[in-house]
Amino acid sequence: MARSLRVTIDNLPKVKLALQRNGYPSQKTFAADIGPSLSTVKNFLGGKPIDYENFREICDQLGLDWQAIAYTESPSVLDAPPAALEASPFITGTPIHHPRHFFGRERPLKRCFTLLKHHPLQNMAIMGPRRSGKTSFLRYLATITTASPDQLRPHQEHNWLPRPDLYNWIFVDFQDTRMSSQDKLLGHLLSALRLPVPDALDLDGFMDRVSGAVHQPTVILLDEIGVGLQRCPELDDAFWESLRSLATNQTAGNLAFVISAPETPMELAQHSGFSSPFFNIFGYSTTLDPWQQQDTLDLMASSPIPFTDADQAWICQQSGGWPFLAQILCSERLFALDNDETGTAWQTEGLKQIEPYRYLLDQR
Amino acid sequence: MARYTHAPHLHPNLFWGSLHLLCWFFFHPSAWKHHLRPINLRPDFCLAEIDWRQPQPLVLKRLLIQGYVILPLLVGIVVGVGLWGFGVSGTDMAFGIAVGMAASGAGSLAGGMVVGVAVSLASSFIGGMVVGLLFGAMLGTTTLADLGWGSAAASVGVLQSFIHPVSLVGINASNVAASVAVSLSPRRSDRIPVSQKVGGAVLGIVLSLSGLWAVSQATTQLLRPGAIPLNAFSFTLLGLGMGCFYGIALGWRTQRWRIAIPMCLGLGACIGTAVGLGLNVDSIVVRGMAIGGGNALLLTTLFALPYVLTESIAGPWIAAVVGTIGSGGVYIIFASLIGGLSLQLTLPLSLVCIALGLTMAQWRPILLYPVQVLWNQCLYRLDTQRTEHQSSYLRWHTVFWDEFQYLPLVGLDQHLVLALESWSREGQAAIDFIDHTPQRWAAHQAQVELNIRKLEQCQTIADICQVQKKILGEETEESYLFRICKQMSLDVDAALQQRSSYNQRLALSAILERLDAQRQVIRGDAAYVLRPANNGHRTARFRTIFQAWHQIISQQIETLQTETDQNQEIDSPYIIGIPLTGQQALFVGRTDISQRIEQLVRDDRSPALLLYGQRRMGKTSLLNNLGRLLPQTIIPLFVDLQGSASRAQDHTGFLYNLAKAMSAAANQYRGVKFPPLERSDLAVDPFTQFEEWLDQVAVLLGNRTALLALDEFEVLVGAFEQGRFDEAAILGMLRHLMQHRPQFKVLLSGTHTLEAFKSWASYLINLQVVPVSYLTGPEALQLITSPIPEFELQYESDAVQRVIALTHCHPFLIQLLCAEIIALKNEQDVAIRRRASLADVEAAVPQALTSASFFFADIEQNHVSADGLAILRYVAAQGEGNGVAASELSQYLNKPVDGLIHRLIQRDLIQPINEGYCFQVELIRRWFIRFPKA
Repeated sequence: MARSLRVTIDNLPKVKLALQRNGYPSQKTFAADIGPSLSTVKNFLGGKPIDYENFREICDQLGLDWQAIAYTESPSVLDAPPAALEASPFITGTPIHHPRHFFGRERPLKRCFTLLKHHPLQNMAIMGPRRSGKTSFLRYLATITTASPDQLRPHQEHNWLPRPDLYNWIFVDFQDTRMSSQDKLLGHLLSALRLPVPDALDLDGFMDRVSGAVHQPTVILLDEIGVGLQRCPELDDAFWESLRSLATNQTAGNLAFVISAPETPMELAQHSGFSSPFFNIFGYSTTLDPWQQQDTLDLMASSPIPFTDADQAWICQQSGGWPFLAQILCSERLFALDNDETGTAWQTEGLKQIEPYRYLLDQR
Repeated sequence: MARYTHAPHLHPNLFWGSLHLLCWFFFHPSAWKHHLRPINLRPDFCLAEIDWRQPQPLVLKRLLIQGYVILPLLVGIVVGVGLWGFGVSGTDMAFGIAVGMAASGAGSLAGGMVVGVAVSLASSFIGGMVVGLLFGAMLGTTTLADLGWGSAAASVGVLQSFIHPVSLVGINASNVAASVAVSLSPRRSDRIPVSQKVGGAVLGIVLSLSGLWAVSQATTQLLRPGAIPLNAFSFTLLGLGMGCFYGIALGWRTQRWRIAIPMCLGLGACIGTAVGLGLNVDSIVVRGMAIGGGNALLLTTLFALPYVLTESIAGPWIAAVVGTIGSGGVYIIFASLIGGLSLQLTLPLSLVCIALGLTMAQWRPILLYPVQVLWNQCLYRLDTQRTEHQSSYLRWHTVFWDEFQYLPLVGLDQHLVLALESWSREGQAAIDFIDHTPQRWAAHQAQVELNIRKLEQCQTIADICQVQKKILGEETEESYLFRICKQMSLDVDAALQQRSSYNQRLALSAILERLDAQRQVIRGDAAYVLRPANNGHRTARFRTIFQAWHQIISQQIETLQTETDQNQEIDSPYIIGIPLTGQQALFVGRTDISQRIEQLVRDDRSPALLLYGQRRMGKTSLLNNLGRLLPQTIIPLFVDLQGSASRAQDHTGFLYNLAKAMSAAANQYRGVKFPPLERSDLAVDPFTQFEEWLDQVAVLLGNRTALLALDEFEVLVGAFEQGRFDEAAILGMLRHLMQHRPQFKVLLSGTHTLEAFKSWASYLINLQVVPVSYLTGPEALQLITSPIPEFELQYESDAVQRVIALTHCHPFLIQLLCAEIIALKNEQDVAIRRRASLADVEAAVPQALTSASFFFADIEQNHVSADGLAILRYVAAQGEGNGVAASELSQYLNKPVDGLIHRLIQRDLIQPINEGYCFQVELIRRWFIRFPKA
């Protein structure tokens, strides 16, 4: 199950009606009553993805069957949200799906693609605190090279790989509970590798099928691997050693792993009680830091309604350059501008929204 | 430029301006037309059209002064000077001047009133000048002395003697008038239907002939030879007749018959009387004026009537013909009847004169051509000696003042090119002017020549880009080649507009190909492009141009390539975190180890080998490369025990995967295909089945040796501990293999010696340990400075030494640090990108520690105990290369440290130094300094 959910387009009228039926005069009142932020409620009612927990909570509050109205994504889906919905300029709460909305991170991107453009492909680890943009970074890696230039911002670099069409990107989100089951995970990998998936699949059989069968550059993106290590007992030392063997000896240099985690791989393994040498194959590891100021400014420049210099300076300062915080504050500012609100109420609301994530500001 | 125009300014001086006007009438009528345009007058305007009650512009007033005062005076001066030159007496000279000035003044005024100002001024000037010279030189005052009322017979003789030349002068003046009239008139006649022209001509001729008939009748009756009543009355009658004619012409022009006819009759009678009286006055000057003025008025009137009548119907050209016939005819009749001359002589001569007059625009340029060419050549020679700061003489070239010259003016194109190169603005203005004249061929030729020169002058790629803007399109024989050049220039410009250097090179290369193709076309089939007879030399020039351009574009591609090479980021050849395979050129050295392995494999006393080394020392990479390093008689069978083999759940799976890995390796490294062994074959009694399979393999091996290399053998220990495999069975199988199959050797590879696994020792007897440690100095140097052929980064010598010092020749750490140095250099300016200094090495260290945190953390977390860590941190804190004595460490930990130190040395972490211990690898010490509490 994906960690973010959204209401299907068909059910949007039903959801909006439910709000009225339950006696809420406005979205703001509803948000104040139930806890999740106003922007989360707006996203929910607008059919945009929100966090799983919030989705369930709102549905419970409105008396809706969350499973009936939720649109769930396939774990390997890397494409943009449906075109029927207008893309929001600022993405809050969910990873960046469309490369157009991804900003900054030039340096680590360059390093990553340097390691991926030559044979043998090399492994790398992307670290960073929660909400630092690791998932977005992984998705961006997978999508930017094949994105159509007309779908990107002007001058957005996308020629990172000489033959992007050859690459096979496999995204594994360990927060998806299905991925905690070894056979489902192996089945997902086999399927993504375009290999036949047998009914009964064990590690031995998986290795048997994959060894020597990867002939095109393949990058397996293991998102939130820490969750996999901590919550998935089926993914034991043997599993991770097999993956290491795949990357080092069985695929002729055609397979690489890119993992994301809050800690270094070795710390992860140690904290999780693993001794597997899988965690020392990552030749490059980097920690996602806050943006450069220019990146924050670039984000704000994408707003359909221009922000004033003062607003920009305030957002830069308050977000500390963290993309997630900057997106929230920009979203609030845009909402206020959209509704012709004056004053500094948006700043108050913005600061309230980023309050739970202030730990980011203490990172450096 | 005002110099090269059909609208030049009239010279401001009245005298020179008058001469200027005359030049316009004969050579440059367009200038006259433009001169009148601001005052809204037609070029063939006449004074009768002007409303004199209105205030007149200054330009017109100046014209009138110049035409009716200055020009007659000029005639007088010219006649005077001419007669003086002939050596005539002063009296005759005064007579001639009087005749000329009077003829000029009267003729221009009378003609200007009804025929046209320009026509009359031009014809009167010529007529006055000629008649003045003739009368002054040929007849003289003495001959005319008897010309009086009382001596008619003598007078007739005199008349007979001068009437012939006067008639010729009259015809000549008429011709001039006709020619000027034709050239000045707007091209109205082009729009007049032919029938109307013919009708007008017939009418004009009929009218003229009627007039002539009337005159001839009157003359026949009145001026019979020998009885000519040369008195005031007869001249008054003649004046009345002429006044009548003139009145009709004026009335026709002004449509004011009531005023025109009586006024002209009166004026004619008065003038006739005055002429008659004037002839009898005893003054040479008065007589001369009477003769000149009277004849001029007579001639003008005879020309004016048919001209005016016909012009409005049939256009000026027909009118000029009719007018000339009218006036000329009268004179011929006068000549034949009064003078008694034979028509046989006069008529052809007159007709020739008429024809010459009407075709003056055609024969005059031919006549003047040699002179003009000579003149123009002189100007060109003078211009070649002038500098850019001096003005050009080109403006005096005949093409700019003789618009009737239709013959190609030889050398004009050459002169234009000179002007374009030395005085470009002036030259261009001249080209623009000439482009609308019959000499436009010269403009085109000059432009072609100039274009070729511009193409030839391209020295750089920027010149080629710009030249398309300078080449003017000309539809010439060379158009095809110019179009190619222009297109090339545009293409080069577009190519250089490309954002990426790669695309620029791509586009330029395509242009180069096209250029090559065009060169072949020119070389192979010049006739296809040009007419070689005329332009063979130009084809050769284009060939040279193409060749030069080819060279310039090629050089640009090379320059771009060089710039690209310099700008291009350095590709890191280093591979970190995964073992090197046999395909990567990066694997360096280790020949000493492979030789040791080969030696042990060939030695029957050492059936088993242990490749021992710390993590990341390159064991797996070495095993991957054994196929290349060992001779063909040894078949390395590489088996990664982290893979499928040790993942198996039972012996069947283990042996199956082992056999599968062995088969794959044999095939990969030596192309040997082992017999197949299926999992089902091993289902029952797997070890026996496996042994039988080995028997088959042994047969296949022949005299070759198989080296079974089991990488990461420690994984098996885990499997034994989990109870998946029976230790005795597996190790027993390996022992059997070693003892009873001399063609098989076993090599274990791992980070442990068998000291750690006591039970293995009994199975693996006589195990020979082959250590894998740091690279040698030369191997490290190669890995740093030339990891791959044509490596783009150069190190300064102290930088190399620093890398070696920091890494202690550790293969992984060298790769790590060098990869970070490359990443760092790629962020630097192009100018310093390809040379690594000591500072770069130091700057790359922190990032190296971050990037490979897994390596250092592995040491910290998995290879060292807590006390070991404490020792490492303590030693690390002492600084680079500084040792700590064992006693100090013991005191620091408050316990004996000998065992700890031994294990740390065994782990290649510390080494003895000066009775103490320090870090083996400075980079690892940096980790413990940087993250002391990690």
